[in-house]
Amino acid sequence: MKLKIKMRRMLLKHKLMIISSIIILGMIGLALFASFLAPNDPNFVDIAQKLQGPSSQFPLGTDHLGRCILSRLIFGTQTSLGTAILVMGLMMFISIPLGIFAGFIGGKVDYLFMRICDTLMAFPSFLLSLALVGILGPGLFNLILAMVLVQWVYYARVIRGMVLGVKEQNFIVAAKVCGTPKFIIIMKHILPAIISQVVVLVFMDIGGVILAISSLSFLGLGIQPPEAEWGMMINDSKPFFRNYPSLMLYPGIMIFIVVIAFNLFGEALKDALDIKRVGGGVE
Amino acid sequence: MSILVLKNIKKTYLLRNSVFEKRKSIEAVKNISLTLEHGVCLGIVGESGSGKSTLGKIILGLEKPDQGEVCFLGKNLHNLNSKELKELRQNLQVVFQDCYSAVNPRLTIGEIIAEPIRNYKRLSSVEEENQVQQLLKKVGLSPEDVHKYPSQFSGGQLQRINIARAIALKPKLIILDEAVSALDALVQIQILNLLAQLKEEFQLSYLFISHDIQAVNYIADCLVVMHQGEVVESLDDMEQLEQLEHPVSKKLLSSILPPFPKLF
Amino acid sequence: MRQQPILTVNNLNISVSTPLAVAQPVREVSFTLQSGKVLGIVGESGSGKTLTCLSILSLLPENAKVELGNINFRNQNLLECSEEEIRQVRGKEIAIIMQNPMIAFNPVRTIESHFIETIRTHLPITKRQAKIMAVEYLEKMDLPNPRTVLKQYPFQLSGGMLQRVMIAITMSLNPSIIIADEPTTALDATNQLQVLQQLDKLKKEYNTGILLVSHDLRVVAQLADEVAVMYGGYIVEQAPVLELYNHPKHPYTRVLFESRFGLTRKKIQNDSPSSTSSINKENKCPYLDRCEDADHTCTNYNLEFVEFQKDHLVRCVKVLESIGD
Repeated sequence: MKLKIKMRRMLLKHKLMIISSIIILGMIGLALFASFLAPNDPNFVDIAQKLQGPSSQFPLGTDHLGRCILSRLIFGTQTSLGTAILVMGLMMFISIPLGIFAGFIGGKVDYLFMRICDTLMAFPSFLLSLALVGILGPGLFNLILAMVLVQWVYYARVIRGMVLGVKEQNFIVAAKVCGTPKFIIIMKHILPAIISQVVVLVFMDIGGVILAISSLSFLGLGIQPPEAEWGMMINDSKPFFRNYPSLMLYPGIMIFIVVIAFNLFGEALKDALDIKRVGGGVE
Repeated sequence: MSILVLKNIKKTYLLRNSVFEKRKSIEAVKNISLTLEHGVCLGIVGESGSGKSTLGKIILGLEKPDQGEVCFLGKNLHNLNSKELKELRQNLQVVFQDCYSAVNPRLTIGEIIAEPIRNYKRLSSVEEENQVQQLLKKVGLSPEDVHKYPSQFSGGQLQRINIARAIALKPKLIILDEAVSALDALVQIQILNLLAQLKEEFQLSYLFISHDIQAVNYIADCLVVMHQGEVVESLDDMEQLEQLEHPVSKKLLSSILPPFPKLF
Repeated sequence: MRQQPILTVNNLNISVSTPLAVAQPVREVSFTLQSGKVLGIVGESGSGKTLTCLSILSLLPENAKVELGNINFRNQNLLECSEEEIRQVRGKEIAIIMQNPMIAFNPVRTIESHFIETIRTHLPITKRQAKIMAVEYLEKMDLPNPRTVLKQYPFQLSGGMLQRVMIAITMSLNPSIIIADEPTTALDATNQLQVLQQLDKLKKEYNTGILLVSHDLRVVAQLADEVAVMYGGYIVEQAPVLELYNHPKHPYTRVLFESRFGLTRKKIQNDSPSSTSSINKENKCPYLDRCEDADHTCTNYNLEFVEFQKDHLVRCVKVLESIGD
């Protein structure tokens, strides 16, 4: 109850939060209703219409294959956002249980876990994903796999830190003394205590994930043509940059807006939930 | 049979200051032996750092001693399988100094007090609520408080809630680790009175750990003085408190502020 | 003979706004403090004593606001000062000692660096001179081996030692007033006495005015010249310490006196319910719900101070009646 009131007050206070949540909801709406909102088939190639300026049929013009840019941008939301949420979800699926497990059990389990983390984190994560995709071969599935495999460590480690903070609280000790089984302690006391911090972390970092996906796609390692994706659209427009800079500009703006919106939302959420400290970005 | 017997308990902590320094170790508890009889309140007094809280943790089974045995109800506490341990846990409870962090702020008072009950008994939600309300009455709170959250209570009231949780399973021994030290002077007396009353009613034994010899004197039946991990003096009859001889005991006694204005 | 007071708090009212309501935890608080004297403020948690202290140095939390009243330090109204002017007063003129010394220190810096930094922000002296001063003041606090203490980190010292270091740092700036907010509550009984003795020594040696705040009447009684008892935001009784001890008039003060245990094993009867919320909205006696002597006259009482004797003020209508008899 108290939290709700606090949230409501903060929401009104923070215009940023309102603006950013509108943008995020808008993006999600675009992704969900892409097929209704897009004026044209995003993958319909018509060489005769290539590199057109804005017109009533193509509001933002066409690309080098005569495909509608606006439609591709809208469908790109689906791919970019969808992939990012999937990647984030998978990472949380792995790192929440493992982080809690290592943090709560402690001792040798924790020691082993920390050494694995140290080893994996010794490499720059983006380069490691890049190398992995290189080995596995390009494609959406491999891209997701590579990102999850490399970055779950980071989140597991942050979550472990949160658990260590909660674990020392007396109510956990009291629960142990009451004879509460470990699993119940985790579900009833530890998870609710850290979940708001985890949510903030997810929102602050999802922008980074979108950026990473677009970067990998830009390098041709991620989503494969003809599927529309912002990073790949930028890549495609490279040869025409001099004469048609708008081709590159539109997807760039989209990436920029989404990443900023998620970061601002995460930041505002952090203030609203009064969370003092949460780990930094992905990269 | 004594309820609790400690035999030659030792506990050493390793300090890892830096990679280059030699590892230091601190002997928190050195060779302590104690016996606690049924229905008795044993006070453990000492300054901070005397190892009294570590001893409490060892008795609760939260820390393993390096050496020695903790026999609770005739069984070695640190030598049991998890099922036996759970069985024994029912009879061993704790109340901490920091009443605020001892309750999960996200749960209602009802859920907090019901936690130990749920672990040992299968009750319908009505029976459970009945039990919780009775416990609340026992500790002097209103049964209507079941649905409130910890943030709606003062420190003294929260300590009552902690006590209600501790007596929920009708334990034999409760460890009171500085249970009243953080409370206002007036509330301290109220809580101590409550503890004394509950002790009579449920035939409880207490291990009352504190730095405040006055609070110990008020409630305990016998006392030991701890200093640097050792028991330096013990007393079976509290009436003879003034006759404590060890310098540490004397220091503790002399630190009591007189109840009247004594302009230095 | 009365000196000119160094600090005057006059009709102080503080309000705190929470998402649900606006509360008034401090009401009509007035007191004066003289150089070389100790004013004790006793009250349970939530009685408004800490907010009163914080308001003197404009350190109130964001949601709290002084509604009414003024605080005069010498001839300066502290509530009308700019941030910069207040900063000049803080530490150098009016210093505050908090309950928990552990939080007040940065764990990764030595005592020496804390000491030198604090001295040098307020006084134009060199590091070497500052260090000499530090050793000198630590010696005054009866800390053994001051030079070793300076090299140590906060966590290597006990709470009592740290609190004395804190007082030493405070004293090195030679402030006119020290506000000690529960200075001994976080400490062991043995350290408690030492800290009180040190405060007393300072008062005598430097003629410092001390505002000693505690929930424990015994602590205050050892040191204070005058005591103000706070309950529910009001000062309910105010008198010189011996007068208060000999003739406690307000029912709450009497309960406080009865609940000191000392070395008794006799059970003290004390069934007064602990306060649920000591912040009342209407202007009625804050102690009304807990008072055993309360009757219909109390509900109409306008909470004006009753002067039981010279310098002995009580906020209880029953006292007025007893004088009338």
